[in-house]
Amino acid sequence: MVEPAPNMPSEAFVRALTESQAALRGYCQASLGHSEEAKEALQRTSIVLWKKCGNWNPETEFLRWAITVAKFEVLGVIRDRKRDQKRFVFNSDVVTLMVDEASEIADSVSDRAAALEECLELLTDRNRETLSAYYVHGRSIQEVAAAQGKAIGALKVMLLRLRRKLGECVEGRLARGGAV
Amino acid sequence: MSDLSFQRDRIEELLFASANESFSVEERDELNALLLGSSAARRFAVQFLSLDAVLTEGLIAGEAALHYAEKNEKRSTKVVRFPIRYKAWLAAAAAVVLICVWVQSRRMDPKDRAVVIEPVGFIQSAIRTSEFKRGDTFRPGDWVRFESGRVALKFESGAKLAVEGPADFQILSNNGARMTRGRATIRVPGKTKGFTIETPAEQIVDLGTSFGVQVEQDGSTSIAVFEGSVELSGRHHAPVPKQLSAGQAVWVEKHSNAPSEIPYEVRDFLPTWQTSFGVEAVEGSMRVAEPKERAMPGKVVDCHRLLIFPERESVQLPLGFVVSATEPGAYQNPKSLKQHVTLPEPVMVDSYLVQFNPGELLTSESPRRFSGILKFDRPVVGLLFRAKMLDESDTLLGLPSADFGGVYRRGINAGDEVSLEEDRRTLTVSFDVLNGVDQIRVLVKSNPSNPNSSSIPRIP
Repeated sequence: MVEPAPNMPSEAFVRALTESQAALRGYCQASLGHSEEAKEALQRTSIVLWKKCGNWNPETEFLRWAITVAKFEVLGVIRDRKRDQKRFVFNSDVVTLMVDEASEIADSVSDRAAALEECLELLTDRNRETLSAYYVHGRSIQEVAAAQGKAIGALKVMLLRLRRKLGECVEGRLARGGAV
Repeated sequence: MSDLSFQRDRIEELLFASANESFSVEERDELNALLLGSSAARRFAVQFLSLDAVLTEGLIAGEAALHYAEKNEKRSTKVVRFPIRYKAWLAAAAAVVLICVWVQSRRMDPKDRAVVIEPVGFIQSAIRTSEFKRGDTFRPGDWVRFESGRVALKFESGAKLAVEGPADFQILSNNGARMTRGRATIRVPGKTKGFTIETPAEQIVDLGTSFGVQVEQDGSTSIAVFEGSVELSGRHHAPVPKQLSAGQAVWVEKHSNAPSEIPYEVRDFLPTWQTSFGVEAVEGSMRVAEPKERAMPGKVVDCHRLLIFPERESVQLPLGFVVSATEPGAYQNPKSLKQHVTLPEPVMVDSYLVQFNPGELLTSESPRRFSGILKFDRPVVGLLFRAKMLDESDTLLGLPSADFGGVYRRGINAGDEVSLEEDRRTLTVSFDVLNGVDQIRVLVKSNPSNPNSSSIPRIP
């Protein structure tokens, strides 16, 4: 077997990082809200983890270590942009509380992600496209509504209902132990 | 309804609204107050936002799986269905692989990067900026951010976007971008139309044109149309978009209802205008023709500088096309200026006319020799020095509207010197002026539009 070069991530590291993506995204978003800063924190976290891959002991739990790095990066984003607080969804006091709250559910995110995938399979193509336009492609409510010939209010209600249904589906599957 | 239930509904509403631009300061303050005051509210918010993140990942996974399946279908006519768990792993793995690219390139957006999508363009020029290099490709969702220097991107559609830092913009498609900061020239040569640039204040749709856009820190946007026309189709124009034509300029504030006309001024855009044509540097007594000058080289008079007129782009030269020179070296004596070389292979070129035309403005005290250095972002493949060659290639390489009537003594003569450096991109031109108009034509290899093409120069 070929050993990775020094400072190059091992296969175990890449696998662990891959499996932690949803949890890390969830952590950054839960800490900073819907914002460019959450994306930036996730980017920073991924880069730091990659650069510090040699510090991780495969015998230890990856996600705990990764969340510690993510917390530092979330707070770093806040610190670096302190002068431009208006851009944040959450103010710095709230972020300070949310980082700890978010770390408590990080462990369960992978199971939620798996459950959600099954729930997404139950959606109609139309509903899935609507969610994708909004969540993946960053289209605004106005843009999605215009594209589908819907009123903005009606689309908001539809998106919220879809979210709730998916949330209930996820909780139901987790309760039944279905997705794990 | 209990207080807790009410509070949850309100927090849900506010969190949902927070993802949208219309999220107000009052709503933000209300959300923060609710979260500060209750640990149950925070727990609920964490679950809500976490579900959103997982939902995004799940949808990305679905798209990634579909993308792979479609690619496989094209290759083998066999549709591949991925097991559910594999989809998530596939998308996450793609994201992780891309992290490696992020570390190297320092430009990234994991949300969008996680979907494996083909490149829709590439960096044609990167000037005085360390963040990017020529040949870097970009995909929908990529953010391009840099603090100084200039970067020119070529989209798959053929559109060119040259941006001056500090700048932040995001690639939306093979024919569109979103810009939140910076100054840019957008040129859409040929028959391509519909290139769209979104800013916080406006949406500009190309109608076959070139135009400049400047986005301030607060999102306010100024637009100047250089050639052709554009359509302003931001939300405040609905249902009828506003059309702007060459020579018009407007200013749009982020929350205003209508653009205000401002004086047409191109000076600030000239650096990106130059970069958009692949001219990386111009030194000495030389400049690139401004937008209003570009189409009428024979009529533009400048007794201080040599002018470079960008002409037609992406012209396929016919087999056997004859030029004066193709190789690096100094061309100055009458013999070397009169030689003929047949291009060894078919090639697609962008054409540039280099001209000195002092008109009647040259006096006996004026300098007699004008020199300049011109550096392109691609190699020069041919030089045309003789009047006859210029006349015969006008139809193929000159702009359709260019008027060369009244131009006499085209080409160059003994005393003039043109040197092509070993890098094939740097050209030194030195014209010894007697009378008439000195002109040469420079043919530079075109870049392909396909960002996956192996012929894109990836020079460090």
